[in-house]
Amino acid sequence: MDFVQERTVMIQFDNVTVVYKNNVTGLDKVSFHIDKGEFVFLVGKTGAGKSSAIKLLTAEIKPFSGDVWLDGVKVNGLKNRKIPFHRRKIGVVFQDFRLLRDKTVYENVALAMEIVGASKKQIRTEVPNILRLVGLGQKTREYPSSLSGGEQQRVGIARALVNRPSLIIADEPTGNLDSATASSIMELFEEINRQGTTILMVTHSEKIVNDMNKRVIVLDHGMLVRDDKKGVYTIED
Amino acid sequence: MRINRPFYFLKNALKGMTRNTEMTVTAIITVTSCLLLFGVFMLLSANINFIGEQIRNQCQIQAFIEFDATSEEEMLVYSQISNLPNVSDCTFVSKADAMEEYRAYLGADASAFDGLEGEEFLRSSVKVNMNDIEKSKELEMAIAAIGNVAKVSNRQDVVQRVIDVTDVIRNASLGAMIILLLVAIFIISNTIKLSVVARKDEIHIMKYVGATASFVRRPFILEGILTGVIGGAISLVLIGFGYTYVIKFMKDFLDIFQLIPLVQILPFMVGTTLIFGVLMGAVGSAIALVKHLKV
Ligand SMILES: Nc1ncnc2c1ncn2[C@@H]1O[C@H](COP(=O)(O)OP(=O)(O)O)[C@@H](O)[C@H]1O
Ligand SMILES: [Mg+2]
Repeated sequence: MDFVQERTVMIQFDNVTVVYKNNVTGLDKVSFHIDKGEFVFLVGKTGAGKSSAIKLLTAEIKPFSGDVWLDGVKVNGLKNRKIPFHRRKIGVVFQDFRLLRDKTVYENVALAMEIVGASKKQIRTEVPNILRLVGLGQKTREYPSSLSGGEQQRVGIARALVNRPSLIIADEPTGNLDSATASSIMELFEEINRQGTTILMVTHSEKIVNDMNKRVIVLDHGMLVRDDKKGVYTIED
Repeated sequence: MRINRPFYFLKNALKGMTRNTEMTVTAIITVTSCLLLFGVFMLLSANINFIGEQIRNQCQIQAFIEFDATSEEEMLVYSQISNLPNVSDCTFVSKADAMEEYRAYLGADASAFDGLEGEEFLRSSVKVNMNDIEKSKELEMAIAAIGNVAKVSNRQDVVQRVIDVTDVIRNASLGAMIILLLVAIFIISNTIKLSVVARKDEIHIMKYVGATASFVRRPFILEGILTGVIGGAISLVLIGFGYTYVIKFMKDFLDIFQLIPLVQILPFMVGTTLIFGVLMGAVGSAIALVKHLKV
């Protein structure tokens, strides 16, 4: 890796192969890199290897061969006790929001800060800031059950953002939302990206990929089959 | 991980305990029973040693001399006894001495015997200390064979019987305690498992946000330890009352030896019981976490 890459590369996969038990191949000799500040879609059919790629980045699984780099750190070389600190550099957004039902909007976001040892004072100033940013300034005391799907996902995004990660990974963040709501969530992601956070998003939505006109990486049967700078959504059967 | 928010962990541990009250109560009862038996075992062990010391300092055998023996005959009995093997020393107790002892024993009620010398109804006797308490039976028989010896009392017999009985109780309580220990750890680990399952979503989120393993585990370990400590505290209260009652009973009905006073043994009991409770809780939750919480 040369000097320029070290300064600008956020994610790098070097010839990465993932093999699960029963010899199922998750990823097959995949190589690509994503620069800091990029907004990249990861698409492919079910079983193509998208989740495997994400789990490599969050250090949930290790590659069978090859290396995964994040912000200059070899993720597959991390010692177990370093992994939590590695994960603090990444904010993860889920398709099903994963909010805690017995906590308010505020508490759901504050939890993320409590976990990393933030002080009460930091939490009290930072959480309302983030909630305003995602457009939920007025809903801090509500419980997730009283929010719309779009609002719940905004809470999920706020929680992923609150510790100021340098990378946001979103696994089908609009999969459970109608298309109007999905567009407004995508606008939020674009705004977050404009402010400098790298975004890697898994999606099945052709419309979203085409509308956004961002880089698209296509996986199929664990292999990288396309990587378009300004891509459109096409998966050949 | 900084331990700068102890209340965060305590709050979550208490939430875990109240989320599944029935299981928590069952776990506490099991821990209490186990530590109760542990307390019984400890008290019996300590008291057996304590009583053993008393026996060694106590006149073991008393040979009572025939009522109508002359004082020459009494002295003959005394010298014959003192020449027997295994006799370390012996004291002659005259009828008048016996009366004194009796008065002292009666205390305030002794006035009823004012004016009596003891000669009318008390026997003179020889108190015998021996070198080897194990051979007290042989010595007792040798003394009984001496002329003018009316009867021989050997308290060692009673004492030994009491020790045998307490030994049985002690071993039984140890056995039952070990079984209950395993049951308690099993039940604690099950309650913790339920807490882990109930907080599955939260743990999942914590993992993604970058919680360290110890941060995720701490409330559950604390929950186990609290269960152990509460069980320990309850058992200590029960042991305190129970032991006070036993001491009183022994004084009133079976006054052959003293038990260790409660205040003297209490700090030791509190220490060991609480340490045991904490360990049980910690081991129980550790087992649950190893099995059900992959961080
Ligand atoms: N834990 C696992 N154990 C065994 N096989 C798995 C596991 N996770 C994923 N796979 C397999 O790996 C391949 C890639 O899966 P995944 O990365 O989840 O794809 P995607 O997220 O694109 O649907 C699939 O064939 C899938 O069945
Ligand atoms: Mg997937």
